[in-house]
Formats: sequence, C-alpha cells, structure tokens
Amino acid sequence: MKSALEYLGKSLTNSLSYSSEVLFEVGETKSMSSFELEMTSWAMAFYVFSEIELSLPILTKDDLDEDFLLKVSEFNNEQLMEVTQSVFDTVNEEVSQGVLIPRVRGHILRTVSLLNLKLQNHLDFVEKFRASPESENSIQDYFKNESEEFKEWMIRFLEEEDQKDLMNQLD
Amino acid sequence: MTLITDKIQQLETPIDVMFLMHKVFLTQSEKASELAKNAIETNDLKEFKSVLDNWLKLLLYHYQTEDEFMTGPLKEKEYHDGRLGLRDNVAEHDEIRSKGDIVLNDYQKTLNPKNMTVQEILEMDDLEHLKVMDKISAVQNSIVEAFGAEKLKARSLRGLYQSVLDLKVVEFDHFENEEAFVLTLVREQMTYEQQLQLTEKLLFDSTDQNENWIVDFLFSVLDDDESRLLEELISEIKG
Ligand SMILES: [Fe+2]
Ligand SMILES: [Fe+2]
Repeated sequence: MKSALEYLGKSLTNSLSYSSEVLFEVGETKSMSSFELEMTSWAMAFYVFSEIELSLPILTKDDLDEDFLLKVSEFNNEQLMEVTQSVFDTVNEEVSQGVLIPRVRGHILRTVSLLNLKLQNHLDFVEKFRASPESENSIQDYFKNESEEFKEWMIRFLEEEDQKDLMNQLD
Repeated sequence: MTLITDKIQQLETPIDVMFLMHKVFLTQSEKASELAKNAIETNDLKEFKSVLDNWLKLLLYHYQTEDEFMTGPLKEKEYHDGRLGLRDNVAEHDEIRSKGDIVLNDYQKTLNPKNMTVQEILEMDDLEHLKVMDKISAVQNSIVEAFGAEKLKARSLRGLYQSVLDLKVVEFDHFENEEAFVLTLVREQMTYEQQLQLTEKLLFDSTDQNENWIVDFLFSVLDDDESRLLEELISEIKG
C-alpha cells in the first residue's frame, strides 16, 4: 500500500512540470492566472506533504544522528517554502497586467525549476531518512481529522491512477 | 529583442550583426539546456559538453571583444531609470563569465559526484545558522554512503541543469539590455566606417589560427536568408 507521502511526492513533481508547460502556453491557450492557480494548488499540497513528513520519526544511519537529520529536514522544508514564495514574488513583481514577456517567462521558469530541484533532492532525503509512514501514520489516519472538502481537493490534486487508488483506500 | 523563433529580415547598420550573433548564441544555450535536462534521465553528457564548450568559447570571445572595442571607446550615458549603459554592460559580462565557471564546476561534479561535500549534497548554504558545523566533516562518508552513487549522480545532474538554466537566463537578459541600451549608443556615436571595423572584430578572430571560426559557426546555424545578410556584410567588410 502506498503512503500519503509517496502519493504526494510524485504528484508534486508532476505538478511542477505541468506548471512549466502552462507557462509556455501563457498568451496562447493559457492565461497567467491559470499558472498562478496551479502554483497555489502546489503550495497547498506541499504544505500537506511537509506536515506529514515532519510528523514522522527520523531514521538514523551510521554517524547521522537524529539531531543532525532533523535540522537538515527542517532546513529543506524552509527552503522549499522560500523558493515557492519567490515564484509568487517574481509573478507579482514582474508580470504586469497578465502579459508575460519572454524575459519574465525565463525568470519564472528558472525559479520553478529550482523548486523542482529542491523538491527532488528532498524527496531523496525523505526516502532515506524518514520512517515509512505506513507503520506510523497511514493515509486513513491522516485524513481522519480532515474535512470532506479537503479530501476531495487532495484527490483532485493527485494523478489519475493515484486518485482511484487513494479513493479505494479511503472508502 | 530577437528570439530564436524570430526571423531577421535586414541589417540596417553594420552593428545590427549583433542580432544575428545573439540569435545564434541563444540557439546554443537552448541546445545546452535541453541536453542537460535530458542527461538527468540518460546520464549522458557527451554531446552536452561539446555544445557547452562551443557556447562558452563563443561567449568569451564575444564579450572580450565588446569590452575592448565596443563599450571601451563609447561615451557613458545614464538612462532615466538610473541605468548606466556601459558600466552595466561590462558588469553583466562579468556576471555571465562567473556563471559560466559555475556551469563548468558543476559539470566536473557530475564526473565524480561522490567527491561532493556534505554541504553540496545537502545544499545547506547556511551552516552557521544550523549550528551543525562540527558535524559536517564527520558525516561526509555516512552521507555519501546513505544516498549511494546513483542518487548522488542524479543530484549532480540536476544541479548542472539548474546552473545551465541560470546562465541561459542571465545571457538572455543581457542580450536584451545590450540591444536596447548599448546598440543605441553605438549607432549614435560610431560612424558607419567605425561600425564596420567593430563588426570585423566581432566576426573574425585574428588571434586564432582559423580566424573564420566564428563566421563558420554562424553560417552553420543561420537559415539561407539570414546567411545572405551575413555574406553581404562580410563582403562589405572585406571589400
Ligand atoms: Fe553582444
Ligand atoms: Fe554583450
């Protein structure tokens, strides 16, 4: 059975690639606000990911003690939040009246790509140093205290095959 | 600003050769970033390295020539937004040179990712603040071990792609600034004859055994119509 983190990690990565594609389409078939909407969903989903991750125990290895790994994890999460914020800042500061000029497109793409890099690197960290959520915190547990609305939103954020999978688990 | 997809129809003054050159350089940066992106999946950087070397060689020659023969002789102008056309142009060249060094350095890391430091692997630039300084050297082996060769390689390739993207973005911004703020000064301050001389420096590398290496490369990328524009300009220079 897949864990909530696995579902989310994969969808977060795919969602960023999709956001970059949307950025290329702005001015043709997509608008700037569709990009911002994508990124807002992303930020919400990442927040959920981060909450779940930080609630899981650390797996220590060799010289890598809990204190050190915890700091790395917190640092990575902070960095990811900061870069997410800088995507929005770039949009707010540089896009005027929804018109995306090539120079600004380049600036936003570079920041989205940086976000993707930090995410992928962090997913590797989570895979190595966070205890598997299945034993500690199943997806049902996580959703137990959440509203129906939130569950629906979360399912919509996931990739199609994962949506079905997750719905089966939550039933 | 000329995009890769734009077609250049005419050169009004000799310095307009810059549009052709910038366009060709942009095709190289595009190619390099595509190859770096693909390498994250394929692990193959062979073609990337030759495109990168070529791209950097073109840029380095271009900037050195501009600093010396273009911005050098021009008179400074302060624009209404406080921008100093020449000073900022030279500063941008320096920034791109250092970004180019970062790309080369990141390329080296991909060759032996196990040699990356803990700091590089974990990207913790602000170690002081984390108060883990004393831990860093002690955990080097454990970190390398824990991630394993494959994940470290992927990490180094992602880093390389990002630094190529950084270089590409500052290069694009620079071309746009130069075309808007510096070429205007060239047209205002240099005679037609002086522009032809500058253009000759930009197109032909008299310090190289093959002084045609730049134009040969330009011709290999430009389409027939744009090549004709370049040919006409060259025959004027050489005529
Ligand atoms: Fe130039
Ligand atoms: Fe330049």
